[in-house]
Amino acid sequence: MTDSHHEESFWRKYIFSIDHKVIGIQYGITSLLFLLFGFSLMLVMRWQLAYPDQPLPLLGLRLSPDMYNSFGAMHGTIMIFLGVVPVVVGAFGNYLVPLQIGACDMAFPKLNMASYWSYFVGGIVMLMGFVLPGGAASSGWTSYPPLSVVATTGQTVWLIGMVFLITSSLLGSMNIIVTVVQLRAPGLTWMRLPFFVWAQFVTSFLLVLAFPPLEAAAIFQLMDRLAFTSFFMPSGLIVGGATTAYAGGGSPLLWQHLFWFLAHPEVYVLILPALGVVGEIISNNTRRPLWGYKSLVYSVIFLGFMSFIVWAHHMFLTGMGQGMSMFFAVTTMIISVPSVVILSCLFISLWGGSIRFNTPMLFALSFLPMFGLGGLTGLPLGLPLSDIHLHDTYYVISHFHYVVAPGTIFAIFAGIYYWFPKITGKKLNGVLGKIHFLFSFIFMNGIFFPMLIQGLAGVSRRLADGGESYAHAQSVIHYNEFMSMSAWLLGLAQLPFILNIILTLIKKKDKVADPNPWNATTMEWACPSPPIGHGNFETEPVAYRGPYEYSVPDHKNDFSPQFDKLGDK
Amino acid sequence: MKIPYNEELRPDTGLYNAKLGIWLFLASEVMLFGGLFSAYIMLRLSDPNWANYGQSALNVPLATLNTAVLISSSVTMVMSWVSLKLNDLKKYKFYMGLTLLCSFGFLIIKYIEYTSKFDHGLYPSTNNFLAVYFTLTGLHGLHVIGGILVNGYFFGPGIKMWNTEPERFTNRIEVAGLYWHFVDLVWIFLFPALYLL
Amino acid sequence: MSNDMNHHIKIYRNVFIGLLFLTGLTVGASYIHFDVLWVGIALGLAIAFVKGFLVAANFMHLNDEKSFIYLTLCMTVVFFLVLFFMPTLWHNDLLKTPNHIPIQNGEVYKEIDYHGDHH
Repeated sequence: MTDSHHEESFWRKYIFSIDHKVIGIQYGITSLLFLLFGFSLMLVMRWQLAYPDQPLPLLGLRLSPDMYNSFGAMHGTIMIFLGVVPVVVGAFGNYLVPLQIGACDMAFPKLNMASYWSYFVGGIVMLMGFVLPGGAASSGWTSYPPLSVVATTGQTVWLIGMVFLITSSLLGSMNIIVTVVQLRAPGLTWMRLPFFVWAQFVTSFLLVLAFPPLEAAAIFQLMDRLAFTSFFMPSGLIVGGATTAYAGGGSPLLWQHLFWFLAHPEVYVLILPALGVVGEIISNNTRRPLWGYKSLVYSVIFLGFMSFIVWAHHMFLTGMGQGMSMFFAVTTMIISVPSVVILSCLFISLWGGSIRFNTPMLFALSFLPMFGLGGLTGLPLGLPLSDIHLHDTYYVISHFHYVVAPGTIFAIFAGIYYWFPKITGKKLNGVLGKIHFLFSFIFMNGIFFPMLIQGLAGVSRRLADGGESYAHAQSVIHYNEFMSMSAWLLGLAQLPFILNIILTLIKKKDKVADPNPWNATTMEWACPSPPIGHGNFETEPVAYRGPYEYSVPDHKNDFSPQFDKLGDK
Repeated sequence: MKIPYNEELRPDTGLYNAKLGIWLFLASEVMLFGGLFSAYIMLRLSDPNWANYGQSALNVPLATLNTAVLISSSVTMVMSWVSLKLNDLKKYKFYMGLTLLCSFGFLIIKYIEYTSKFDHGLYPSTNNFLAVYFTLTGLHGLHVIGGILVNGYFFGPGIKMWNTEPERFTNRIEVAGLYWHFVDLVWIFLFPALYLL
Repeated sequence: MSNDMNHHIKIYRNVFIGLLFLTGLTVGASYIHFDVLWVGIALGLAIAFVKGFLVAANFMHLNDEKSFIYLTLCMTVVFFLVLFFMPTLWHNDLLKTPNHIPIQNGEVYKEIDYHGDHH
């Protein structure tokens, strides 16, 4: 399985590597840094919201409304496209999918490397906007025309960056699909796959099929900006008191359709791998199989399919006719069913379990009610009547942050604590981990729960003064300071995590690290910790049973690994 | 470390890796051109002025010739793969060379079309029909250039692989062929949509 | 093996001729003026679909492939059709509010009296 030919140069081994593990770590480090950067942009914005028009401490400058918009647009873009998706698909997917199916690498290692570097270049290009005159893109992460077409150069750079990122995504997801279909170990049938692999598989299909219309739209917007076409520019448009030179005849709604055709499946890309991670950790730390494996698999497939036909629920306020509104409201209600099934199966999996409250499990457990809250707050948004009041308010912001922040990001933290010993051979410190968990949980809720209240009162999103100038916001404006404090404290709460990683990495390693410190059953725990470079496993693994054979009756041990011939060790 | 099923077919799927990979890529391309066509339909339907935008300025006979050229290149492409299956390297070079010639021919005719538009002062910014025309055919043209690069590589420096790993080389030509047929397929839809309907 | 290939070569030649013929047909059909507009469009699209099918089935060997590719493609085609037909549904007033805008036609909205008195 392994070969030990010529020694690789530093560049080949660590920078331009084609080993999926190195690429996974590259994705992980890059995306976590981008997450930190995107989060910092928001911390600055929250100063403006808490203390409008007061200069920032230390730096002394004021955040102008234009800069606020810029920070807001880039915060959204960076967190989604440069942060969360690369972590869950590029880092976790790349590193773990080959290991969990018993393969020696991804199907196309060189393509894998290309997809990472395309992502890296795209990220740098996006950030270049900040140094351009006119600043970075400032038309929201949604880049609606006509505003985005007449915006400053930062928007062009945003579009070019997106083309690189979309390319990276396409290459990466193709790779995952071919790997899962073709490179499964002997005995690993479809219904014996870990739920994490199913989640990554469906996610990859979403990426392959949903991203290209956004690429088409980005090309149209680039044409509008650079070649003065009128794809999205209506006739008779007046900007800043003057008529524009566009021929007209275009449709801003066209952009919205093409954008949301991607962006809705995109949010399922954000959540599905997280559900996979949580599933793995729950099963392992309850010492029980996941409840309803078949329901989980069919739900995740159905969810993926449905995610393509709900997109216009982001467009209920664009003047849609009743027929269309009803269609999308119905599909949106239907799509909540598989989500609830998955969440229920995960909850029921806790029943009768012998729960170990280690750090990954704490994050995974808290994911469940937080994702539940996020999902429930989505329901009034999916019904056109209530959406009329709630659209574009802080309620929406709270809804999607609940799903992604104490949702997906907590799942990411859980996954990092869980798989750190596989990647490095050392476990992260539990005390620091629990401190990280406790304060992150408290402050996440401190930020996003009051937003529900503000949103219900009608406070719009993307207001540089946080609603100060609106009468209807006055009764709820005092929450801004509280939320900003929570945000800054959430930032501080990440310090134990960063410290933990650094201290653990510099700690001296045991001679031979335990390949399976959590006593888990899936195949990634069959190889050494860390896995062998260019090969992963010492001998080719074989799957003898399902992925969650914990606490099998009449067995001596409470777990029966998938890769172990003698089930009852 | 050898990745399995790069050349041999996996029994239950009947595929080798690259073939599944290219089909997935083509699926994404279908969605890309789907987005483009969707935009074309939306813009055309909502603009009552569309008929005055100059579809009649397009050169149908030239484009019909271009269609025939591209279809021919598709046939020669599949014949080049057949030649490899029949172990005939000379025939492969003949057909691949023909494919490249046809591809260049397509681009030249496109260049003639574009420049004649510019000479008449017709640019993408002039009206939405021209915007759609230039963008869709332009993107298609970029895909043709991509195909030329790939096929050119397999006609030139890449041909060395035939001597060391003939089966793998044949598979690569099959995969390149799938891409090329797709480029032809897009034109089969683009041609009536833009020029005729 | 050689016979198998010869059989394939014959198919390719026939498909080639068929494609050229259909191209001519579609150009010719475009010169016919139909009473109802959509018939012309449907005919053009139909011929294009037949040509596409010939290329996909024969040149791209879809006839010979096992089911997995079909499944992927079927899914893609479904979503492609969703994208494709969405604008037509949108346009035909089924999916958006009608173009009749009362205030531009001299009508005035009836003032809604929220509190039982006029402001």
